[in-house]
Amino acid sequence: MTARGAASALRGVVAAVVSVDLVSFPFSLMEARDIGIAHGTLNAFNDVLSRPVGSGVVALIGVAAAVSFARRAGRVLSGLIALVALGLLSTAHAQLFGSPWRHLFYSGLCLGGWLLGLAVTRWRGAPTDESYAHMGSVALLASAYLCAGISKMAFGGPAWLSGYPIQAVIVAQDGLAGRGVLNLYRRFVVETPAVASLLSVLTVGFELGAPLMILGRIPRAVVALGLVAIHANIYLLTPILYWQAMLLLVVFGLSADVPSAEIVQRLAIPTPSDTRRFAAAVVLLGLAAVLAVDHQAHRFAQVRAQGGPGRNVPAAPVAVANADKPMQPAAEAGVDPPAPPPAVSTPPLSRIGPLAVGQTIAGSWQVAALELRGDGFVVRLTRPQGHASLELTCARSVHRSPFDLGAAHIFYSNDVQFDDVKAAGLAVQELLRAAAGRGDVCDVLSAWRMAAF
Amino acid sequence: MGSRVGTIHVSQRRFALLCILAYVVLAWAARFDMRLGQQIASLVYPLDTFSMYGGMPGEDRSHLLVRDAEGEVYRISDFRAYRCLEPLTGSDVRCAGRLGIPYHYEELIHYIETHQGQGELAVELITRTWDFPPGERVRTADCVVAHCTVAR
Repeated sequence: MTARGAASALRGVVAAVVSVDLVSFPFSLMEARDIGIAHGTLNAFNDVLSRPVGSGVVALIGVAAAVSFARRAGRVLSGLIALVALGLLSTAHAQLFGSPWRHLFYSGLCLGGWLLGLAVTRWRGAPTDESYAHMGSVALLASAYLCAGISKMAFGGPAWLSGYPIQAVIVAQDGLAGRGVLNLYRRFVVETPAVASLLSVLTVGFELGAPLMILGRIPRAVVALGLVAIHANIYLLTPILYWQAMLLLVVFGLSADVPSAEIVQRLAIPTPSDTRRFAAAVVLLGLAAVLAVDHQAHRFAQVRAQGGPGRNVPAAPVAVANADKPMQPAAEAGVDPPAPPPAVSTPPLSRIGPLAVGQTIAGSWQVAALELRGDGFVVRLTRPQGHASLELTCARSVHRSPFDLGAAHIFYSNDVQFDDVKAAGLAVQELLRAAAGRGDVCDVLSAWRMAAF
Repeated sequence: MGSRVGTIHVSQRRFALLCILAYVVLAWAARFDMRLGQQIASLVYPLDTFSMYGGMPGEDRSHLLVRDAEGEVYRISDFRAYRCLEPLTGSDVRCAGRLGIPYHYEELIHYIETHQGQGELAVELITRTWDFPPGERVRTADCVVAHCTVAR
């Protein structure tokens, strides 16, 4: 295939994926509209674009532009219209749904990169040359994976390589309730940390290595096929299918970067000053990239420290202390039930901080006993309908409770439903909050313990 | 001619490297909060940091399932009719903080709400949470969200 023929085929694939994504948006937007109405995120912009007429018109214009873009080399305006259509529909959908759908970003990335390349060759007097467009698409495709790899290191750190995030994604996405060979494979990865860790290392390695795709045909094929394999494995482990990304990785990963005769004739040989300008731009952009990533990593760490919610925010794992027993003893063969809390090792006390034995809490609960445990203490509660315990501690824990306050955990016992203990937990949380004021909750807990002796 | 092609390859790679760096800068420069998460969106499509699974998992280790009287678990979509006693949404919903990936939970609850009907099989709607203690076997803990009757 000639360079022009290969570029034409690539352009056609990009346009086709863009068109499929555009056509899918009106349907996704109809569903997202209900979600947006339910959560109060409907506004004038997404209201128009989530109506069948609005999204249909934008999608139709976008598809027409994509077809025009595909039919002839160098059609920047057509490509730009298709990209804007994708952007409008994606933005409206993200607002209504509550999060962007990243599997619909890859077509936009390749189209955007293609247009950047066309802009360069147009500026250099070869408006129909697509060798830079091809490289632009590869570059933005690589950028997406590079960013994914950076995210894992900036937000998860080296611990991401432990395999734990992959295990968690599998169980959270799938629930391991299926049957058959696929479910066996999913269980195997979940229950074998070494395998999960190996998959983590490969994932981060290929993602951070994605920019190698710009170096030439062989590194591009190796990295792209590696990323395709990772996507395929993710699909086996979870129901997540990024077919757009896989298709674009295959077609761009196996493509050659042959410049056309047009650009060969027109391109000037770079001078030393060109090289200096390039080096300066790389240094400046590199520095800006480091600062931007560092800024977001700091924001992320702050949110995590405050225990903020959010899908992308790795709040510490939730408490599993109040696990219910199933109706029958074994929930799952081969899986142990949660460990019971450690035994209390200190004698009972009559008062710790504002809590005293016999005190009524949240209307119906009464403090039956107070016991020191570790660096915190346990409040034994009782009422006619049953008993419960709250443990206040600043010990580091992988568990988390809805009553936690800053660095202090307020765990509740595993023999009680959350609803039953909710009022008492919130009341104790409020006592701690009031005592701490703007100070450190852990200092307050420590002072309460010291005064109890 | 050959050296010109080589020069173009260098020029293309320079262009590609600048594209990558510029994309990283723009994608990471500003991140916005949305309903389903903080720092979840970049400036404009198609910029993104693709951080979906970047952080260490928190409450995302749970999944909504159906558990029968024998302790067997099933997917929500395994049943065609649901009637549940307790609320499945709102501030009163049980097992708050361990409902799993928010959009997954919403989708599954939406499925239940759109598949209302009489059922003959008494089950519990549970969130199963997986715990991965280092060096130990994987543990699971279930929390009952609601008691339901279902039909296949």
